[in-house]
Amino acid sequence: MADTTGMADIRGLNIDKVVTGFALREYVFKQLMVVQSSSSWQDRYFQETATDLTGSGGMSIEGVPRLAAFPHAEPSWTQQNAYMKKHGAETRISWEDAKTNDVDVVARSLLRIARAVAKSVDTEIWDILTESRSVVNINSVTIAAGDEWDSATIANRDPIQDILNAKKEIATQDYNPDKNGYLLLNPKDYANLLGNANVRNAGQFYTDDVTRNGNVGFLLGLKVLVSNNVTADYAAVVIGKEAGTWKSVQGLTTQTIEDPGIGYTIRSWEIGCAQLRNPKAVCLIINTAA
Amino acid sequence: MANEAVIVSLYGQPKGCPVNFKCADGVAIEKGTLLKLSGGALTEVTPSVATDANVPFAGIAAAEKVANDGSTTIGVWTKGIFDITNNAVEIDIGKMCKISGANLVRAAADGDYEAGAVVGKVLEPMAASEVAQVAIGTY
Repeated sequence: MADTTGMADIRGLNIDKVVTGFALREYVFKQLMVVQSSSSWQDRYFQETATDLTGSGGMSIEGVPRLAAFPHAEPSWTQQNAYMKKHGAETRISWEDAKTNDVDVVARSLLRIARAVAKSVDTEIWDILTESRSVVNINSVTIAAGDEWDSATIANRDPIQDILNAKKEIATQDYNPDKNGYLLLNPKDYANLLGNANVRNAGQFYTDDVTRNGNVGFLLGLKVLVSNNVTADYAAVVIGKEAGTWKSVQGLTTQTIEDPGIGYTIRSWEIGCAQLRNPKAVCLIINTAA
Repeated sequence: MANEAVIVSLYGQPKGCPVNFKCADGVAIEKGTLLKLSGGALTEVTPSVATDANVPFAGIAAAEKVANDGSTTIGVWTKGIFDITNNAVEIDIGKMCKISGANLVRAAADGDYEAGAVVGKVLEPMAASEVAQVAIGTY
């Protein structure tokens, strides 16, 4: 049927081809790692036992008597093996969709497929640094129930002391958390931290940036890093470029494979592995949120 | 329609081994629809419907076809792993399944092989109304 004025089919239609409705998450954890290239699938390294040597068998290093045998002491090392992982994803786009869709499906797929791989790597780094939140070798500070950073009892909230305790745990292990130390937070804990009266009012040792513009570069000597990839209910203090290493066989690579007239395969991958080489340079803060 | 299959992984070269099937111009087919062989023409497919019980499985629609768009063909995935919805009782891991309603599957029986009704192998325990991975093109 032909249309006349007032009928819907002849009304104008504007199509905005810019896609909206999302925000791209930042992937930030790789900056914490020492990035080294590798050409082997298996990567071996050795962790030296941290404890200082003492005399064994009741023979003390202090007070060796004249002409007596010295006490025996020997260091020890633990062999660690890590295996590379390939993080990858791909999608198929028909030739027709690539040429005629309103959305630039090839460009958007390139971006999102690559980001999926970057997210996977970021998640692996967070999991390795925090031992997937099942603490074995890293340090940890557990906030008591009722003392969380959003506790209903405001007087019980003491994030500064919790963070200082985390730094103390690292320092006790002879690492220096004031040298390239990072505080990893999720947005909720970041808000609870900056909203805490002890932080807000701590002008005597801290700038007024907290209330002026919310930009916090450093807190308690730690560079603050906020990411949605930090698991809810946890925060972490990590010494950057010391705690972990990212062994890279191949960096993030994205390829568009054209099958003329048929379609495109968009493939992205990264090969490497995260290693927790200095577990005591990490302290996980547990139970940050009620 | 609802419960369309979702790609988990495509097998083969080319990926998913897409096959050119015929379909009626007037039919609308969503991407991910479980398709059955039917109609009078060679390799003609139609979407699975609620009453389907013992129908020959063709594959999974690789793209959406709009009704009356002038097209009488559709690309169909025939090999890969897809998330598919169970209709009836739980299907054990490793069992074969067949079409049982629109985009739904249920456990297959011996006679379903003869009828060409088998969709594929269930790769995880599949409770009623649950979505689980099914490998199609594996018999």
